[in-house]
Amino acid sequence: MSNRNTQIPDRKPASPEHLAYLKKVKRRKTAIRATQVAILTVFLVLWEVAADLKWIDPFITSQPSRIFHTLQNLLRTGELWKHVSITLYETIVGFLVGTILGTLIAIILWWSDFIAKVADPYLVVLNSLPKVALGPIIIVWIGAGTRAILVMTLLISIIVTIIGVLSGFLEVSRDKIKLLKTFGATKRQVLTKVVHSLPVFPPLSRH
Amino acid sequence: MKEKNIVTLNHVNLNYQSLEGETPALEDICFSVAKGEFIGIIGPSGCGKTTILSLIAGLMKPTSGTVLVEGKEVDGPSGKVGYMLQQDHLFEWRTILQNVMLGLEIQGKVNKESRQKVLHLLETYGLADFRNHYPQQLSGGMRQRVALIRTLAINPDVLLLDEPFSALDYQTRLALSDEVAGIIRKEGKTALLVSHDISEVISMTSRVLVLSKRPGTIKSIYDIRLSGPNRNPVELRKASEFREYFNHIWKELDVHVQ
Repeated sequence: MSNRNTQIPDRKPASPEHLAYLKKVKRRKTAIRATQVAILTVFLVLWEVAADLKWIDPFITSQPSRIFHTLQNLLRTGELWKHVSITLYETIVGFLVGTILGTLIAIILWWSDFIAKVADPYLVVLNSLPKVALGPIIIVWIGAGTRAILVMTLLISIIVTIIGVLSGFLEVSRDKIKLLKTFGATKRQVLTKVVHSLPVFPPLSRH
Repeated sequence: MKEKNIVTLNHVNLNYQSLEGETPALEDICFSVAKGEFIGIIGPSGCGKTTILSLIAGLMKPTSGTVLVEGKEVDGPSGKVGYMLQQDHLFEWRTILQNVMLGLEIQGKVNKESRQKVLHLLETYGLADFRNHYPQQLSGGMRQRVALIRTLAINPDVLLLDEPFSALDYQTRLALSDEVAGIIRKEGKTALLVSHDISEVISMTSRVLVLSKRPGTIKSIYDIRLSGPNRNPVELRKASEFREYFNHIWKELDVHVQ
């Protein structure tokens, strides 16, 4: 997509009004960022002070300074990277598998209106079910550890993926599909040419 | 005689089925289109104009009666019929050339020869410089021209135009109808134009079918003979007969604002 040439209008020297406008836009942007930083700062300071003054119990809510110390210790012993890499691995594998499986199931549901209609109420129920509530059952079945976490990640991502991808598929305009059908496209071609609108460029424009 | 007619509809009836019941959309439609002829179909909205095109394109089957293209009964879409829709429906993620190649890709006919032909079409109709552009960089009129070339690329015997100018502003519409009529004449195509614009149909086509309200039946057929030195639709609108045809068809359509 890098070869799109956009037309750049002729630049005239900026008028005082335009300069004032640019300044106003910039000032607004700065104000938004400053407010965001201020909210975070106030929150952290309040948390620290509240824990110090025992308004809240730091045993339960911890404290910014304590978190900072723990982080330093973990960094010094090198244990932090071990934990980070395991968490990262579980997240990536879980969501990757969830996305791939979810997309495949969405394709099946798009392909067969019958299966989609049958599956509809089950998807709605599964989607509204809080997956975290299944946590204890999963631990009993699979045991605590990486595998249980992977299954959990999969459960969280797969239903959302199915619903998201399928509604994306169904959003494709009927007329675009009609156009493909007038060329005699099969259902598989409708899927690969337009429904999954991934920009797959066939090597056509070589000279 | 039969060989000369590219499209023939014989006593075609079509009913739409729904839970509420049956809606007759077309009733006893009979007409044929000779090779190289340009036919217009006009009628009130919802009278089944587009349905007739869908039948010829093989997207639908008649409830009774037969639809013949080149003497053979239509059984699903084929490469013989090209269909141009109201909107251009160019794919934004494909370049102009890739968009134009779409039909050939689907029919598995991409080769050196067909590619050459497509490039030639783009060149003839002033789009060669834009072949590596994306649709969003083109104006509405140019996009619809690309859509026409996409339809021509599969080399159809019959072109179906379903209100192809209705999404454009008036000026572009006039200019493009001139161009499209020129292209169709130049390529020697047989064409059917569905429209609700009386002037457009009179100025572009040589025969006009007027349909009645739903269920659509053929109310009357006009052979259009316009005199003038120029065959451009825009010029033909100045012909003295134009007004007459317009008034006749206007009365025939019996338009009321309800």
